Amino acid sequence: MTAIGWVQIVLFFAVVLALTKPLGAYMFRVFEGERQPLPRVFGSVERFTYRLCGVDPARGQTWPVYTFCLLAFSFFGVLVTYGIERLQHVLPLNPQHLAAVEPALAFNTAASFTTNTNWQAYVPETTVSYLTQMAGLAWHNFTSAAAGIAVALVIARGLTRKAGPPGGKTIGNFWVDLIRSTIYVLLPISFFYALFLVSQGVLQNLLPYQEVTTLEGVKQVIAMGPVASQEAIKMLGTNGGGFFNANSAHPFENPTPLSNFVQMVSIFAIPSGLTWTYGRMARDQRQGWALWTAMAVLCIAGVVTLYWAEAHDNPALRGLAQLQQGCGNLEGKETRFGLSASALFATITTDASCGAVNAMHDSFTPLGGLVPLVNIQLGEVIFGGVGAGMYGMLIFVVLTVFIAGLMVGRTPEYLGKKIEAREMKLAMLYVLIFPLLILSLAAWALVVPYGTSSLSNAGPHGLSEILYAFSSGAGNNGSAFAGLNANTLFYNLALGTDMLVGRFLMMIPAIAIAGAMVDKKVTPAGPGTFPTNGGLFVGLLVSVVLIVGALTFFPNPVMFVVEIGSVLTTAIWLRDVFAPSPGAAPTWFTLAVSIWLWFTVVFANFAEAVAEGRGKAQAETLRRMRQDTVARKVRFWPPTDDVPGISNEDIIPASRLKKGDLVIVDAGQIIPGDGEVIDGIASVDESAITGESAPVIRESGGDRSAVTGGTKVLSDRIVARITVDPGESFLDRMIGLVEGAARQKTPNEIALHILLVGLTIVFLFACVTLVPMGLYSGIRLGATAVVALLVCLIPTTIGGLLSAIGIAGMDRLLRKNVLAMSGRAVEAAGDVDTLLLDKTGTITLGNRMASEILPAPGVRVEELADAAQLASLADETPEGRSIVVLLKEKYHLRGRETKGIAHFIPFSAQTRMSGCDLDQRHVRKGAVDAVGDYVKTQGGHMPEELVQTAWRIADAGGTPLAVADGVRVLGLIHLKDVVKGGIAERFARFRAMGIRTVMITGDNPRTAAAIARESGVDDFLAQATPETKMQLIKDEQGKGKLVAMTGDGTNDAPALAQADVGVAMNTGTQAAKEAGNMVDLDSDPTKLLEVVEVGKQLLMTRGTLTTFSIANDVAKYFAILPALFVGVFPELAPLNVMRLASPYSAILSAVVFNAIIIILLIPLALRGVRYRPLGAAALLRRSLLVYGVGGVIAPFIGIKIIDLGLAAVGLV
Amino acid sequence: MLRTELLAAGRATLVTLIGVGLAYPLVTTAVAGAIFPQQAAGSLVGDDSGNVVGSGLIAQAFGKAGYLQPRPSAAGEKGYDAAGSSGSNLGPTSKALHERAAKDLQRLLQENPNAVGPVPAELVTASASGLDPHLSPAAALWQAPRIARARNVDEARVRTIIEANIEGRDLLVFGEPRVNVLLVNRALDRHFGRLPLATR
Repeated sequence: MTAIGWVQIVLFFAVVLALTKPLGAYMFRVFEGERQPLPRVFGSVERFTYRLCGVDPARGQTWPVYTFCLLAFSFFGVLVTYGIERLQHVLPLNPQHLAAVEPALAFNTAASFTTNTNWQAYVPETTVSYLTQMAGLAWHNFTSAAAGIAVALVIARGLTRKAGPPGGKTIGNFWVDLIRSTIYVLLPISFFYALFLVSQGVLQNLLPYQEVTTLEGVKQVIAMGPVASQEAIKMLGTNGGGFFNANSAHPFENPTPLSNFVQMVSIFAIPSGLTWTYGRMARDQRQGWALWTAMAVLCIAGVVTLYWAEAHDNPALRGLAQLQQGCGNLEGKETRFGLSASALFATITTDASCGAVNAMHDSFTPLGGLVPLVNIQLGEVIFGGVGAGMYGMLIFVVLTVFIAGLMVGRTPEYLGKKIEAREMKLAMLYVLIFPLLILSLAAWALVVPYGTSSLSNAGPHGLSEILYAFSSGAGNNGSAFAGLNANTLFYNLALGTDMLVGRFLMMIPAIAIAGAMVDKKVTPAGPGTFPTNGGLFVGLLVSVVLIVGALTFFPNPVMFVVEIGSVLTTAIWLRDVFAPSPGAAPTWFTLAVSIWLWFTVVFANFAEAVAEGRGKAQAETLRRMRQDTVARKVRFWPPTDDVPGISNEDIIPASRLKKGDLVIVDAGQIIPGDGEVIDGIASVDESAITGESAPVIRESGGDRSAVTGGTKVLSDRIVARITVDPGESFLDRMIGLVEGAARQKTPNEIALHILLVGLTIVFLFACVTLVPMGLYSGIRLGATAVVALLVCLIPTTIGGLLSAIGIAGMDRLLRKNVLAMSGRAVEAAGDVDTLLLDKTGTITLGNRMASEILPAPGVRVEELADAAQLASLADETPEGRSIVVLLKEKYHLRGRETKGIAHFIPFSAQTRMSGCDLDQRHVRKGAVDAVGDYVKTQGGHMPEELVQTAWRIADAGGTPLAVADGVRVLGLIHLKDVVKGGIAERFARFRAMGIRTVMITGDNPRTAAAIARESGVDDFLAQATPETKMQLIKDEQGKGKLVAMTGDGTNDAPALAQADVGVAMNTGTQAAKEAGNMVDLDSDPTKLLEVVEVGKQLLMTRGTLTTFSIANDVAKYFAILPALFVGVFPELAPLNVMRLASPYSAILSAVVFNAIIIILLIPLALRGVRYRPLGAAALLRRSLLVYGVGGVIAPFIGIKIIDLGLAAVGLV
Repeated sequence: MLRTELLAAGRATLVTLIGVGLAYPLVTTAVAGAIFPQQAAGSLVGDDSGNVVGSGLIAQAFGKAGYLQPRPSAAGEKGYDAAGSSGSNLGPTSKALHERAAKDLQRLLQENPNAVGPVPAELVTASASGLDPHLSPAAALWQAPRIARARNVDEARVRTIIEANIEGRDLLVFGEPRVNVLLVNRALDRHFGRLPLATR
């Protein structure tokens, strides 16, 4: 490694960085801009091309149509190229008179270039004519790159477009994207680029091969051709198919170090620019730079490793006497480029799906060769192929966002769009196809003679050659460990399929995600959403790429696999006991592993059992209550005159009551079912359900009419109409919920489940394919070891605890006496953006109390007091009663007869007044403006002094009520509000969580503002009516926010139904309870705050344990893999960092750790991760540190301790 | 709907095939040939009598002791096949690579008894293309004693010729300093007379 070498690498990144914005901005103008980005003649060419193709550029396409166009176009592409190859001997531009390409090779090559792979099973110089190169191959270099850009744009549009009615569902037009990227981006750049290359010495002619006589008199035939035009698009479009066999190492393709530098830059130019384009589309440039940074970090890691590795001498040359040492590995490298530019080229050509090479990867040192292989297996998302890398990276972003989102206790969202089960399914499909394809084909090739006979290097390096070939094909890279002779029938067909599936089957889920995302509503970002454009996210993204991308290749369905594993190892143990076979693992080992695998299963079930146990006990009590209840069903209502001897009642079991039946309940009897009181009033003991021993009043009409089955009438008699059918009662539902019988998986749980299943399949596959790879290397991997590895790798920890977490979350809510009707509601509570809180009882203590009366000028206090008492007599609200009490205590007004009062006017939310009419008097009391309006209609007016006084009261946070008698306003009553202690701190916490609190009150705006100021609430809705409340909810939801509220009265029902989380008070009406999705048995409006925290806790517990579980895998790999392979490949010894006692001990320790960690995490799963009211970014950082970093470190320590323990007791 | 798109796919295939598959390379060929005729045609190099002796960018076999010898080549069966570029593709654990290098090393030691220092690794490692026309200055100068002896001239004069042919890094930064084998050999012939074709 030399300083000048590093300078070249630094310069490279500097130039790429400098190009990113101009190129990205240009591409944005091309694809999303309104104005013509280039001289007008390009516009004419563009329109002419549309006309030739018969395309209407204004028509948007839905994702299936878009995909269809892409596939159809590619299909024709394969056909045409195949045709040209097969007919090249009769077509022009074939000066060397080359014969037609063989069918299998022609298919392979057509697939290769259509898929942007440019895998070359042929030797170009002796196989393909100039016409085939130009029209058959270079043509695809343009179109496949343009198609890649198109798909990247589609994903970007899906994620960034605001859904709206017009064109919302369309994601662009494939033909427009294809043609615009060709005409505006690829073609003009390629033309000037080609001329530059010719100036450096690249060929551009149609001459036949030239024969020269060398100075030594020998004849040399020099290949010719139109190289530069193809070379330019080969690099720019990250195609990578060389005009010559040696690709960019050939001096005619890449003659100077300068041309080499430009070629490297041109590989990354478009992918790098696309990140900027993407940021621009997302209207947040930092989103694009975040992707860029993640890519750059991974790329630099690759370059440094590769350069460092290649600076070492070639192992095959080591120890040759009198040979210069210490000059690095020069086999397969060109003198003019040197080590640095060769290492850099190899890294970026595999970071991107380019596949051009300027050095032979097959001859790299072992570690050096690993870098390109890993790069490809990561999915070439590091800048990536033109377009392809971008959409691959965005899939990883979806996965990262999902895990990170759960960790901060919110339904994961990216750019304001929620990531749900469907997207997770598609993302996992994308992630799964790649390893499945590579590993299955490679495993096949390794065990069949027609697979291994193509190898030029024996031993482990041969395995690398085959693995590299299928990775390169599936990843559409096209570079090779070229020692493999891939021009055989088997490889041509297998790799051809590999490339087609790797391209199109992976594109479809990517486009489908775009299609699913484009319709989603955008939630505005707040402190509760974690930023996806910061360093923290970049770091997490890099980790996810590494873990998901790389570990898959190293080689509840989740628990199902463990169970099968336990059965299998037990069977093996039995077999070994009864029929020992030589060379098998010791029986004690198999037994120990199988016992611990069983433990894993048991522990996981134990977690669920514990979680359910607590609920079961509660359910038992409830169920006892349901039994033995009899109902007195009424036959006629209202009862006609009693006919002697015929009762109006039937005695039937409560379980046979149907909706609409009427029942009578007397004091001391149990109410047989949920219903509504239609007659009478009674005190009811609801302690069985609420745990509250104080009896509550239930009466017909109004907000206190709902009764619950199983509760007991303490006094009086009521008649109730049953409102539910058998089995659907509140009690039934509660039992169901408590027992978990009616537990449905919540949306996030389903999405997480898909992720876990996907990972399990990946690991299952990785482990299974280890067997043929082992066989090839001469290792007979024992089934026990493979099963142990599999169980350690699959996310058993989170898999085992997942349902326990869900049950425990519901249970936590239940213990707070909140009954959630669905798990979905609990999760939604975690996502809430806006809380609507009723002032009374939540923000202020209880109710307002009258504190003084203020007469109007010229009115005696006694007159005002008298009128105030009259107006309040029938007012049963606490406020009304407080007025009567005040008058009695301060003005010594005794209670009076209500005789002579014509009728009472009850308070209504519409009039905001109450009062009574008697003789000629019309006494009214109510809100100042309401009373003012009333007096005006009667012909009077509101004295200005009173209005001033009223404002003063309101400004102080009090509530002024006006009292009027006919046309005269007599004075004011001052009602005082007391704000609860500590409420301001609580609201501050919510602000930190990103939740906005809105106070709902019937007060006038001034009073409301004063209380809002005092309590620290973010906003308020004054003079609220059911309609304005509803409107507020709709407005908030229209902005993409999730709203939670509490309510009790019938008039709250519509709002409760509209809100995302509606908590109904148990004391409320049946209508309110039906409309909400949670019922608070304590009827405590403050509870909403706790509900939100429980919701967040639930999501966070899942997220953190998932992170922990996956992070654990790193250590388990380091424990088990060296144990399996180090005996055969001593080269792996450096991986054996844990220095465990023996291979058996290593595997056993890992399995034991895997089982024990489940037990250790059960308390956490049940209790839930503690929620801290921090901003999302801080929360994520914290969780990542504890559960991510901790998850990596903990098993290293744990496994080592278990290993030491096993060794100490002499077991191993 | 889909029929329209299928038709569009067929038409777009033809349009792009003609546009970027034929028109683009042909136009580029015409323009490049007009601006850079020498490079576009292969940077061919002639001797003093005007005969084309090779391309300045393509390695050729030089076996005579009086010529500067290039790196080993895996292109074609005998190496240096300019119509069959290739690297050896032998991996780092390959026995074949070890044996080939050992054989080349032996030959070089025999042919260069007066060379100073160990054999440069370049001279026993095959290039990526098999057509690498260059050597590092060190690997070229290492051969100077042999060339001088074979041509019966002062070694310093050979070194001067080689040093005069050193190309620096591009723009002072990119790549490595290098010597073009064919150009050095042409210069050697120019200064010391052409080696007879028949020997060796």
